Amino acid sequence: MKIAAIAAGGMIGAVLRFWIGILLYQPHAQFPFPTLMINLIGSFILGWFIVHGSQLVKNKTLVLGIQTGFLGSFTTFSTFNAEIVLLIDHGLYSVAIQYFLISAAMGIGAVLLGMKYGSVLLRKEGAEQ
Amino acid sequence: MILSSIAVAAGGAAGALARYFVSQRLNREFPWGTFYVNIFGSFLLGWYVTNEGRDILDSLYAAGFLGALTTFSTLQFEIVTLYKKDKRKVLLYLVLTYTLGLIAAWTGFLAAAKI
Repeated sequence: MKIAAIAAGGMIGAVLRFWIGILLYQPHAQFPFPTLMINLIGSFILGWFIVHGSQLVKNKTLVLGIQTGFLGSFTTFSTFNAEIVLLIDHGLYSVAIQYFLISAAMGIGAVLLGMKYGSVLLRKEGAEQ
Repeated sequence: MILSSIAVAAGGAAGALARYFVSQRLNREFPWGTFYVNIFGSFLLGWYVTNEGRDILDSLYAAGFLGALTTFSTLQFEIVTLYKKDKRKVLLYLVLTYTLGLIAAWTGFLAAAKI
């Protein structure tokens, strides 16, 4: 069951990343905006999910499918690095540095923000009960 | 488009499972499992981006498998949780992952270009 949940989550995450990548694709853009958006949105959702979303789902297999399968596959580290290498190869050094720093700094920010949002929702629900 | 999406889905399932099994085995106090899949996947994708014009295989392998094998969100979450536990370990994790990730992708890229 665990394996099926992770495989299913992995499928959905990868396909969604693929589609968003096509949707946001701009032929002349230098900055890899689609991957940045995907990685930041995925990090925010993961932060929220671990703190709050997983409490709603409760089923451990489903939590694994969403967290490790879906969110893990939706975001990508290999594409991030390959894009930096390609930018450097094209001589776009300052874009490469910007992309690296923005991803690293905002990635942590996105996860923290997601966790904060999750704990605010948790507290709200606690107060209502 | 439909065929590519199916290929991405198949690759995504395989990549997610591979990441899960490696993480299960190797993620302890230090997330070595996530570290290894991220570095290894970056090397393979760096190698692969020099290839062009194999559409379905691109989707299956690069966008599907390698995209799902490696993860950015888990990395960020582990950085935040490690920071709360052990500040020296988080620095090691940050520096190792980001520098070796880039070096791995660059090495793959150069190696493939030479062949």
